[in-house]
Amino acid sequence: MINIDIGATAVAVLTLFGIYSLMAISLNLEYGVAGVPNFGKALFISIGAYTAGITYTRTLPLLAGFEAIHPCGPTMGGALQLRSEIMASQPAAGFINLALTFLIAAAVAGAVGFAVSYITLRLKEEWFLALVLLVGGETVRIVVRGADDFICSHNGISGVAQPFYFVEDPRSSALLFMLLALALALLAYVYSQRLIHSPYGRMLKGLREDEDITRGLGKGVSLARAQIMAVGSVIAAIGGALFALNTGFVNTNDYVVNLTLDVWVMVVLGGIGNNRGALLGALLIALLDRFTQIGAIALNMSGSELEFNYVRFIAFGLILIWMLRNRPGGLLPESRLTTNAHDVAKGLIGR
Amino acid sequence: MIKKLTVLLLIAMMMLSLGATAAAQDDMDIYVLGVALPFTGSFGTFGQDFERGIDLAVAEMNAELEAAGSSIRFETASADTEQTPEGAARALQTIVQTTGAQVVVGPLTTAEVLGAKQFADENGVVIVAMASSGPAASIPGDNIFRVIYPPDTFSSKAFATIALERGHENMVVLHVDDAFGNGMNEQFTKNYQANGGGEVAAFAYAPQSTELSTEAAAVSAALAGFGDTAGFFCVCFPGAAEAFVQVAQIDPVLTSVQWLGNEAMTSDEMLEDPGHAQTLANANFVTVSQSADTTPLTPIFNEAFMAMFDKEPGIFTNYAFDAANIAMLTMLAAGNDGAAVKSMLPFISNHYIGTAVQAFLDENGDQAIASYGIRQVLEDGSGFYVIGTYDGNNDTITYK
Amino acid sequence: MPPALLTTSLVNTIQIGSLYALMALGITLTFSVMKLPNFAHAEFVTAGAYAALIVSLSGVLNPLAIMAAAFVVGALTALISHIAVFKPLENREVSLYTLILASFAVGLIIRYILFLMADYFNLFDLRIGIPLTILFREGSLILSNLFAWVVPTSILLVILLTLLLNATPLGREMRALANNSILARVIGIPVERVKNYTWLLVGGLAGVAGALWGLQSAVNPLMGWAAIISVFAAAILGGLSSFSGTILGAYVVAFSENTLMLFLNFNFGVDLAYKPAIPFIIIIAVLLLRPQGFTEIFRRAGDLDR
Repeated sequence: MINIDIGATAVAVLTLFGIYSLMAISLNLEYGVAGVPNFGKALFISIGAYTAGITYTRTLPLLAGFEAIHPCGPTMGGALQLRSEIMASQPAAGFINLALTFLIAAAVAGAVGFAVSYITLRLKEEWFLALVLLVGGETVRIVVRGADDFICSHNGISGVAQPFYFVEDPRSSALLFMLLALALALLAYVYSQRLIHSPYGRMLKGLREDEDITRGLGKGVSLARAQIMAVGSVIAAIGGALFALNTGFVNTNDYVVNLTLDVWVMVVLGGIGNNRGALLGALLIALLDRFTQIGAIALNMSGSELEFNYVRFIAFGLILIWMLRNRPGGLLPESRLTTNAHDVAKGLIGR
Repeated sequence: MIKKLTVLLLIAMMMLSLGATAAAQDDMDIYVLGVALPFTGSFGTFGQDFERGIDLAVAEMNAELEAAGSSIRFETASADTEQTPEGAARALQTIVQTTGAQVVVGPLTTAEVLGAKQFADENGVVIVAMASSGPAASIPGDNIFRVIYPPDTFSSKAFATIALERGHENMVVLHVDDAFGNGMNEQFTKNYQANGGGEVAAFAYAPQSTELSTEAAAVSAALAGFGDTAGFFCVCFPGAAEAFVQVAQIDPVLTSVQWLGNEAMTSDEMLEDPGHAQTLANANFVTVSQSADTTPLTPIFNEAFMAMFDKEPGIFTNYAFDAANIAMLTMLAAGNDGAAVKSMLPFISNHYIGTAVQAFLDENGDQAIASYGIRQVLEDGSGFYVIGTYDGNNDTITYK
Repeated sequence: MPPALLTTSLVNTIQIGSLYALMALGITLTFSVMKLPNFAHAEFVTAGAYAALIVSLSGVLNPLAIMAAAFVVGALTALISHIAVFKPLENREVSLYTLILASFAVGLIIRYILFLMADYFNLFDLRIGIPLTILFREGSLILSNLFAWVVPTSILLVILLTLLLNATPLGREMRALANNSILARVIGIPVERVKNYTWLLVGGLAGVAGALWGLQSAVNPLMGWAAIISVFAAAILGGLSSFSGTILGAYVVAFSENTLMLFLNFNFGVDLAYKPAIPFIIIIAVLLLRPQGFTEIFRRAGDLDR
């Protein structure tokens, strides 16, 4: 019996939209604006998530005035209980801890992104960077998975509650978290819009189109690329922290190549180089995921024998290929950049 | 383009709601039983098998309800966890927000269960897992119940006891590198060594490996290092287990020692290959599993499953059947309400005879009775037979 | 590291390296001729393995027949992917990343079509029904019939491929295309036809590799996907352009995953679970430190961009 709770569904989809938007905007900055093919998105997202896993187990108890309990092994249950109680009863500690999570995640991811961009200089061909990042992400995942005390290796860290966990009513709590995710996404959007439309942003796009010419114009190419990678990585890591909080669980199994591909699909679907396109792509993926799941439930209830869950993936692939073939610029293609000088020139020519 | 998509989405939503009204029969009380399982990915076959067990339980229950003149009917709503914790959370959310389900059977692995935990706890939805056995989800007071299938503390003890009884002075363990495999290895080693066992050399294989010749070589070398008195314990999932046996069957060391293996290794496909069957038979391969320790429900379940699907149930299918039954019985007793089901589920569970074992929950909401059948491969490799039983609560083996 | 282990792991290195070589040559060929890093290659392998499995389940146990079926199915899968997806995209002159994404999408589609099929006919984790027997045994050196199939088949196919590239008109045209596609078009090489043949060849080789891989392990829809990174590492070691470099790369990757991994495990206690990280590290190291791979060691016959 299908009985869609439209309010809760909307909140869940919009929360995912906010989180996906952060990821998509970050990739759009890196690839769409600066031309850095970041196929290691999952790595930067996971930095945010792993940071949350660490702060919730190490700093949260301290902020609430308790001694930290070792989160893994025999004391696992006690540590989980402690952080759940803190999140339920001490909202201030939760918020300070979240701010701390964002700070650490941003610092680490920014530094990694900055460093990674310099790798490009060493690479013979630009697309090698895509491959290096793709396998680099998996390597880090395998190493973290094997590290016993970091986020308890395979067991992961549960009870990484979102900051409004203390609100009794689950619907209000989810609504508040949705607002937080949307607010952060909006912030990232506004910031990256300003970045793109600044002279700096135009230089970056020039960099994407032709590195040699931009270099010839005397622009600091490598530094610009490094900065944009750092900014993009920070946004991705914040998205990653929210991603973990939304589930309440940090585990390496989530940060696989498929997550990277999902983010790419969002950007390609929406429109490479256009932030509004990235937002649209994020929204479409969040909606598509939910509605194909609902479709699978409805089909299953109607007694269909077809395993619709496989068909979902096939449909996903087909939509992507259709888009790449027929709408290579995405649903909202990048518009031509115009500046004041451009307008003046147009006026002079009289067109 | 965007307008078209929006229109499409709206039409899809309308059709869904229309379909829903049509499906809801007039004077029936429909109780929705959620099912969140990995239907895709490498555990997809497990998910599909589990779902069949659940479908059987629901069909039987509905038939009984109809015969008794009740107005209640059960209906399942199943969603794919994509075998990731975050996917499990999304699947659970979708099920609950789409159908109003208060009770969800699944997911499979401990990582998925923990992924679904936050949403379940906050929204008062009860999770009835049937195969998660890792210690990380042994948490008192939450909305997660892990019925029928006991934590690995029991089976690891059973394997340690059997290894010691077989006279293995040292052991080599090959295990899958995930929460289940690592937990099993740790607990096995602890139990084995606490009771007088010698050294344990453990090797992990990466999940989703399809080729295990490196691992087989390492195990073989470790066994050779220990000498004749060592035994081998494999904690492997079906695909990897077959790949392992495929390369192990010509290894002189691995074919001359005795093997133990977890229940998931004992799929029918394994014995279909004559070479594999012979290898396991020569190794006196022994496993422990609840399904071999028959209760009055076992043959009834097997026959009904054959009648409905025209095939044998998979290795864990009966656990899913039991979990669905416990969930449904609780809903019948407590009503279609998460809080009531949570409070009453231990009581119902503790009065339910499973297809494999009496259900009984401990304070963490985990199955607390473990009574395994010890099964060995027949000499001709055609199947398994029960050579004894292991009582997990008293740590005693009884051979037939 | 015990000597017996060394022997066994070296045998494994040769066996698995040969399989990697078969798969990696396809990647090198696609990249050279089509300028496409094709991640869907993994699924050509899986499709071939399923073709082999179905033929063997139907009662045909002749390895040659099984491999022929795998070749045909792999080749057709590759050709269909080309005609339906890659060709139209190339005609639009899309960016390399669009092609990479498209290859992931093609792989996803094929993978889940195989999932649908395997689910319907219950074909998960089955083995191709050729039993394993020991052909030769001397101390710890054991060679199986599988070894006797895998290694000579791979070597034979590699030799045939080299001959084809160097001694036939088609091979000459393929090399011309690899070297400079615009020039190739200008001098009147039937580019589309050459590309079609290349895809058939690439897919067929992948299919045969899948059949042999399925003899070694169990067939499931994820088997190719699980091996693709190792295979890419081999192709990258070959600089994505050199045949001989790719073959050497395949054995280097196999050696690192087997002998080197076991050496690290036995002597330094490195956990075997880190095995999947080895090809990753190889890729990163090669691309950063020596992007040309082994190409400069082999500036001879068999190089595609010569």
